[in-house]
Amino acid sequence: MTINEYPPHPYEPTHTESPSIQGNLSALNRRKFFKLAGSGLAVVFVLQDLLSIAGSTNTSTTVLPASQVGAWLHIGEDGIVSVFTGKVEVGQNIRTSLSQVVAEELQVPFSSIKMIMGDTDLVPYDAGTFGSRTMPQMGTQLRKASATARAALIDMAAKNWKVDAGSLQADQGFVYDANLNRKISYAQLTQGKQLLLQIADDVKIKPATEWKISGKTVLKVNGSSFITGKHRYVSDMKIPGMLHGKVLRAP
Amino acid sequence: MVLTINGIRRKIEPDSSTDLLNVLRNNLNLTGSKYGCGEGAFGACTVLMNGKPARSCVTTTLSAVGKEIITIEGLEKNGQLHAVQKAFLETDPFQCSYCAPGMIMSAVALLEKNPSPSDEEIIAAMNGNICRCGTYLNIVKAIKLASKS
Repeated sequence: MTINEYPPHPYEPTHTESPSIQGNLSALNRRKFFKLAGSGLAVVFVLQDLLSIAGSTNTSTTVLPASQVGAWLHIGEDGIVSVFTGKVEVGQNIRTSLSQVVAEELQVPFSSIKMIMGDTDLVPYDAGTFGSRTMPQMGTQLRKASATARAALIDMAAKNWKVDAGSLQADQGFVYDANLNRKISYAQLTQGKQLLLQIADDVKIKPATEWKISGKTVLKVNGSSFITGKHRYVSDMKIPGMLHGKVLRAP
Repeated sequence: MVLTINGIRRKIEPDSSTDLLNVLRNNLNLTGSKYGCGEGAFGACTVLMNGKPARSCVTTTLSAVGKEIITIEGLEKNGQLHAVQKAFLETDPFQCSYCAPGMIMSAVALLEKNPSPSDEEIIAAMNGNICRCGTYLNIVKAIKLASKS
């Protein structure tokens, strides 16, 4: 299912309503991505097929208007998968369910996924977290971004070993070659590289019948931070120069 | 003014807030205890004072002097979670978890007094802690689990 199959949500602004300049990410290019995230493999989900608009497949020079980026993820040289999304966690457990999506399609352990949510200096523009739209829309975008990254990593391993990509499998952050009993980690594959992939709507994703992690009941990925009091809610944050506002009412 | 918090003696400026919760959160940066209503009805600010649950938002800083105060940050011992924390982690009862610190502190106090409470006793003891997500049945399950460990 693609996101286009969903009817427009009554509260969802159209693309034309999105501001053309958003904060620090008015335009995204290769340099900006890797300055933010460090070397590795970055996958950007674009809402329209920008490659066809630009008429170019040269990712090193293509600049993405930020209003067209839905989500992006980055696999670092340390194997950490950073996921950038404008959706926010308020107890509906999307930090966990979106992690499940990424773990499923990218084939990485939960512990290697870092969800950067709602940090407006870093994440793509998002209209907001409401109306049960996170899983159908953001979930689908991250599923596609993750599927693209997995396919790219398998291709990289295939080139590395000079074998057919079809004979390789990805699991737990590694690409496996069952025929020759060898494996290589995503971290090793992305070392020293600055790869930026753009994906549009038509990438192939796993059918729901093959899900092993998605759609299953799991514990919160950051459960221990809540039961130890370490989780910082907005009201727990202190920022230099922060001012406080209060509504004063007549007694 | 000196307060004993999580086994550590902490010097507090004499012009600090008059309520204990403010001192914990703003002077000592122990933000695990939450501000809910400011009048002791919500329970998210619950700490232990000499082993008894106390609503820190309506506890005067002065009355806490000389008492052993334990906050959610002080339950872990040598990197090991408290049995109640373990049970809550395993049961994963909450949605937003804002009430979690207060719930856990009240549950610790209950189980110290009554190690194997009935459902009714759990509900009675936890009556002063509110969960606006409404996850009460799961919370009772977590406390039941903790009582078995």
